[in-house]
Amino acid sequence: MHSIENLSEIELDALRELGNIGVGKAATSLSQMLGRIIEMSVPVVKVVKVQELHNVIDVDKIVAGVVTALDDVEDGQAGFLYINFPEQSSLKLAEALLGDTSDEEMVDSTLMEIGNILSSAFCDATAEMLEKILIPTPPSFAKDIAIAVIDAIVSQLAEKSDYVVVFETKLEDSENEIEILVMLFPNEKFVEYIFQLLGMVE
Amino acid sequence: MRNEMLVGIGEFRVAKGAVLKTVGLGSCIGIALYDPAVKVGGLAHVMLPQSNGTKRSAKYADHAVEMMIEAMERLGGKRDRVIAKMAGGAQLFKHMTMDMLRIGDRNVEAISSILDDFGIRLVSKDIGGDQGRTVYFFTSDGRMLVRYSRGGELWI
Repeated sequence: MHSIENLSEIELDALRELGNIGVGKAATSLSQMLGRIIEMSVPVVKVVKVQELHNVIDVDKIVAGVVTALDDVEDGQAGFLYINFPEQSSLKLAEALLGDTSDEEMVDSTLMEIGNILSSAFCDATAEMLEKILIPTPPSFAKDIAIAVIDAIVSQLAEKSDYVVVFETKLEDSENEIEILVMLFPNEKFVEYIFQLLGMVE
Repeated sequence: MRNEMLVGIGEFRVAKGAVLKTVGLGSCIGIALYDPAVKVGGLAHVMLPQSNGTKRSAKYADHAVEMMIEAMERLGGKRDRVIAKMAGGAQLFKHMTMDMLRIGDRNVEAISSILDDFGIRLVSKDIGGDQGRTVYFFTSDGRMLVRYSRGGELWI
């Protein structure tokens, strides 16, 4: 039996590849939508215990968070995908996309749309790599201190999983470099899919 | 704050004199227990109300209360003197499309009845709302400070 705690370099590489395919697709959609080149990549992926998340994120900084539930068409719910925009990144993103950040509601809804695009792209990537079809629900939005937003998500999954896969994601256009965190909160079934994926590289 | 101990998500700590702190209660709940006679207190950051027979973990309210009482007894506390305070259970997500994320209310109800089962009196609480909370529990005198993420604070 695999343990998600002690993944080897190669296994982490495979996970990063899943992240890269996902954000690559999202970058293509965003580029088409905006009519200019947006690039996204996942330089680092980490698997973190929920209790130790405070080592990876600034727990008491205000962030905007977009969360979608991932539904497996065969088995039901598979987990949550959570996109964490640090305050600086949300402003930069909104500025790059809207050109104007004065309307807060507009900024929030832009972030939600990016969350929507990312989660659909991520589901496309898992369909491609794992041949599992996942459907994202429409996004929910929260703005609060980072750990409180995560707290609201993990309380859903506490029974089923203790680990989070953190994709440190970089989004670039010609002028900006923006950092966001894409976090996958898998339930037991989704952890199985991840092991299937890792099985492919062994 | 001096003499501060951090309680992570799904963890609990018990102390005599120290300030117990948990950052970022969203829909989760911070449960504080206190024995005023010996000034021993505990704080837990619980995610779910009921354990349903799984292995013992402080992320479930029923286990957390039991584990805290045991730890407090080792520090000289007596369970029939213990009182409780709680804070949390907010609804952070807007544009709610997932019923599942409305877990706060369910948590509060379940925890109240768990405290009843243990015969522990709930003396004060600060529950609900739409923002996160950071909680400080002063085991030297049993006061609890709730600090909201968008500013403002409350002693309970």
